[in-house]
Amino acid sequence: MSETPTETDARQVLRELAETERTKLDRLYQRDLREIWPIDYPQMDPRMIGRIAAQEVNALLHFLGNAPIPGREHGAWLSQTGIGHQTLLQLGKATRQFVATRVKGDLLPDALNLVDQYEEAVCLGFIQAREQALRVEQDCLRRMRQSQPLDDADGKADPQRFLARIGHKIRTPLGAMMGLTEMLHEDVYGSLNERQRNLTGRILDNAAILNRMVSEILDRFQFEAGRLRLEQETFAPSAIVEAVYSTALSAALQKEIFLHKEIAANAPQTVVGDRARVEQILSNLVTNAIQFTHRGGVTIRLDRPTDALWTLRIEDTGVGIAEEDLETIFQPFRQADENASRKERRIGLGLSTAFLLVSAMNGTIHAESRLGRGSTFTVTLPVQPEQQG
Amino acid sequence: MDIQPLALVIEDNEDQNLVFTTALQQAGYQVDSLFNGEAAQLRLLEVVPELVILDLHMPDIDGNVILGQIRADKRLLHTRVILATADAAFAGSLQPQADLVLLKPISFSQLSQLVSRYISHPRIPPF
Repeated sequence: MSETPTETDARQVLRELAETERTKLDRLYQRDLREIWPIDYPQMDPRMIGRIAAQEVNALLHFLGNAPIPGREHGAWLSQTGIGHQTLLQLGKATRQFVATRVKGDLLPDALNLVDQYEEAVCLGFIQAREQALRVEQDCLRRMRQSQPLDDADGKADPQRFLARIGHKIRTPLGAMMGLTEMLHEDVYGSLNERQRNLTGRILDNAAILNRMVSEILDRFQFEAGRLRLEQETFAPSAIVEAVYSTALSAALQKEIFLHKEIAANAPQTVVGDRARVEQILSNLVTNAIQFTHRGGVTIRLDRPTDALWTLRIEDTGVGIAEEDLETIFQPFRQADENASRKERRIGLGLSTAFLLVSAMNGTIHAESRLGRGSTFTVTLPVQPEQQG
Repeated sequence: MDIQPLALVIEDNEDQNLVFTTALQQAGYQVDSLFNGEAAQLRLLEVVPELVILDLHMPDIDGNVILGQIRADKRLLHTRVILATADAAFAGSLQPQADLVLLKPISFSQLSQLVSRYISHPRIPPF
């Protein structure tokens, strides 16, 4: 039976170990740590775990060797890396296991005492640093709240509102430009010669492209900004059909085409999902259909093909889409193709956004068309969102 | 000679106001062009227009306040109101009170054709 070693002996052993095997130790430690690392931290990059673990071992060895890295400072550093308290405890446990498996015989109790002391100091430093960070965070929040009215006035606080304001600010002068040019084009101030009319026509074409691009960009950003906030509410799909129908009716009347709505007898009374988004999708599709229909009209149909699914079908008798274009209409900016003639151009206001939104809702959107024979867009959505987990 | 029906254009953007005013004049209306909410509110106390084109966002008074004034005034039961706005969400919430909502940019010729149809068809107020 060996003598009980003194603390000085333990320090000496560990210091030697540190000096001769530090590189090897780091490598081994990282490997060990990865094996015991809790698997419920999937968001953390393994390389990051390795780096933190290496730092941990270095700090431990410095500490044992009386190097000037106090446990508290090390704790503060761990806090800065953003790791949580539970993770810190896991890290301490891993350090402890590692040391325990490598320091042999009667040295073990003292070595473990040292690790415990170290852990205590690290934990203390960690907690202090967190408290400090929390105070800073609360201070920032308080300042932000105080300056909220100013931010709101600029629209910075809420990305959705900011975008709505930007949209309004861009569309107002754009609308004036288009209207004034149209007045010239329509001979309100005297008749234009052929060349002048050609130019006003080209200004109008380009303004229309700009307008569509603005819409597309705003839709896309609005989608990005609101992506994580798909609502889950119970609503009546027929109310959406009614709302879009009554909004779009004036546009159809302006073009002297019909706009019909059909609600199937077995259509669901209520569904669960994001009401505003579904309305936005339907509104975009109906606006498009009206835009590309010059004879006949547009029919909106609400249906329920199976118990679990409901559909919105928008059928028009418009100009149709060429087969080769059907594959790409849901891609952004596809419709702003400047080579296409004015009538052929599929504006597709928000078609790519509609596609993204429907996909995010676990639904599908599908287009069928023949050039000159009209188009049918079908949006299929789940009656109830899929249960998670 | 027929008396031209009266229309008000309430829109703070001068260029846009000119476009709306001209479109309505072409359609056969006599047009009062107003450039802020206060002037519009005062004018609406004096006249009974057949048609009002109303911008929703004005610096002094929001268009929805003016819409409310028109709908609360029994003299103006037969006045049609067309909302003109770039804000689809806001316009949507006011739609029940308006006769029509047009989203900017609004085509000059389409607006002109649309309002010319209203001339011989006065608004039928709801019950």
